[in-house]
Amino acid sequence: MPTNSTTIRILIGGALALFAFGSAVNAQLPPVKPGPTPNEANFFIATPPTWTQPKTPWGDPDLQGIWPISYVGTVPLQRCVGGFGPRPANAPPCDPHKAFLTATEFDAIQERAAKQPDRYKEDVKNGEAGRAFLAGIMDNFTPQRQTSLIMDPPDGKLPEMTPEGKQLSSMMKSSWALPGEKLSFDTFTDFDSWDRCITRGLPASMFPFRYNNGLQIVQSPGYVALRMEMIHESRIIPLNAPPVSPAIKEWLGVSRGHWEGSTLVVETTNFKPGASATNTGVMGSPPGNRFPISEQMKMTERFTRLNNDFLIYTITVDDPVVLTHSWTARFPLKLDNSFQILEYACTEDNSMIPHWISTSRAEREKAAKEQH
Amino acid sequence: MKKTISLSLAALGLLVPALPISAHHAFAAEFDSNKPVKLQGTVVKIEMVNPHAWFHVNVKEADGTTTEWMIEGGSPNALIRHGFTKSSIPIGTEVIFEGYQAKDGSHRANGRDITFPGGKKIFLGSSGPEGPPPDAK
Repeated sequence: MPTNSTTIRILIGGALALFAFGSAVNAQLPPVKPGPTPNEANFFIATPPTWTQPKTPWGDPDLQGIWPISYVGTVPLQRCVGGFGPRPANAPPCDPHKAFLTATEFDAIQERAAKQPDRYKEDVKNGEAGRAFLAGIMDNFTPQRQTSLIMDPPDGKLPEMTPEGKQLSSMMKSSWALPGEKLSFDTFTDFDSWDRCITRGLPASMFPFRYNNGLQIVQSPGYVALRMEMIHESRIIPLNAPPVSPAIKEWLGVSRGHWEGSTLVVETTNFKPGASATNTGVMGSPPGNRFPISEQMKMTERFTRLNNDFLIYTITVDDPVVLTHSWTARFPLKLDNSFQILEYACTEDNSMIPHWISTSRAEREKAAKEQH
Repeated sequence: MKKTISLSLAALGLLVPALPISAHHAFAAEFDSNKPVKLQGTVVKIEMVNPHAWFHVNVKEADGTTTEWMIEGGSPNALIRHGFTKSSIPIGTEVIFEGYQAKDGSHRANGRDITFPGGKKIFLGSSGPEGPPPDAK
């Protein structure tokens, strides 16, 4: 039995901890500020003073169309995190507090990118069909000024995991090894949800990959749908709908939307844990595809259209079980209705699961023979 | 179209891509970087399936028998958007492929390069207005 004063100290300590934790959780980027002058607050995308938000026939702000996430495919998820390999020796040191390149730096990158030949087109022109086959697997990317997709915490990095988050992470499985890890596979549960073509999960599905970046917004009265090319999923978002029972759990959660002015706000809860929150295929993401989510995760997304061609997408991830505080990514998307979204039919990764298991068994058999 | 040019991550001078082209899943989970293969054969089937396409190539062995190899390629959706379809490389085409064999020793490889014997060129039919002129085929 604690004494009264101990109880009071615990209560005060708890309240302080809650206050500190609550502040961190609620840390947010200021809202997007559309305006006629390009600046950091609007990601250098101007809204003409005479522009009016298009409306659907039933009067909702109209966001419909295809907004390929590949538009920001050159930007790493985390700032100063390479993702695919070491930084070139001649690259300037990365400043973790620099969210945007200067105009001069950006011009230089655009100039360099403009000089890069389109390898696919070059190979086709030269009759190199085999090389074109190998070159044509990337979606087209566009240089950006922002230096990471994550804008909060201010250093552009994913927050630390809680001890429980680390514990959950250690229990996850994937075909993607952690540095120095030796994996073995015996059954389908030894793979992650993406290996198995079930889902890339959330928030991972909302970030750019090297291919299959199609994202289409479709609206009808009372609903918004987000059609995601990879992996053949549609997020159906009822507007102003009541919450569902906490007993309902989905890989992609249960989303509810509403309008704040012309901004579409989507809040998603009721997650079924299992998929990784981040995907190693998104540049600048942690290795291993083992960033857990909990049933407590809440995701808040905002779609703010700036003009006929651009919207700003903001996503805040809050998971008190896994994360020591929330994180927010924000980036522009460009309307491109010429982007053809194709079916992404894939079940248990087609032939890959048996291939991997057979490979893993052969490796272990070989190792065992070498020992004897 | 200055703003929509295709560029590699390396082009930005920020990163050096080190992963093989098959990025939906881990290369090391199936293929052995110590087992490079270079083989010549005839394309018998192209499967434009997700997450990755597969070329099936019949390779003639020294004893006269034929072995069917499966060569893993890239994501079909992006290829189709670029204009590369299942019929772009006709069945029966002679190819030389290089890649890494599967660790279990079966006749599967991760494709690193596909070329044509004797430097023969194959022009793709569906490459749009910027493709080769019709008489180049």
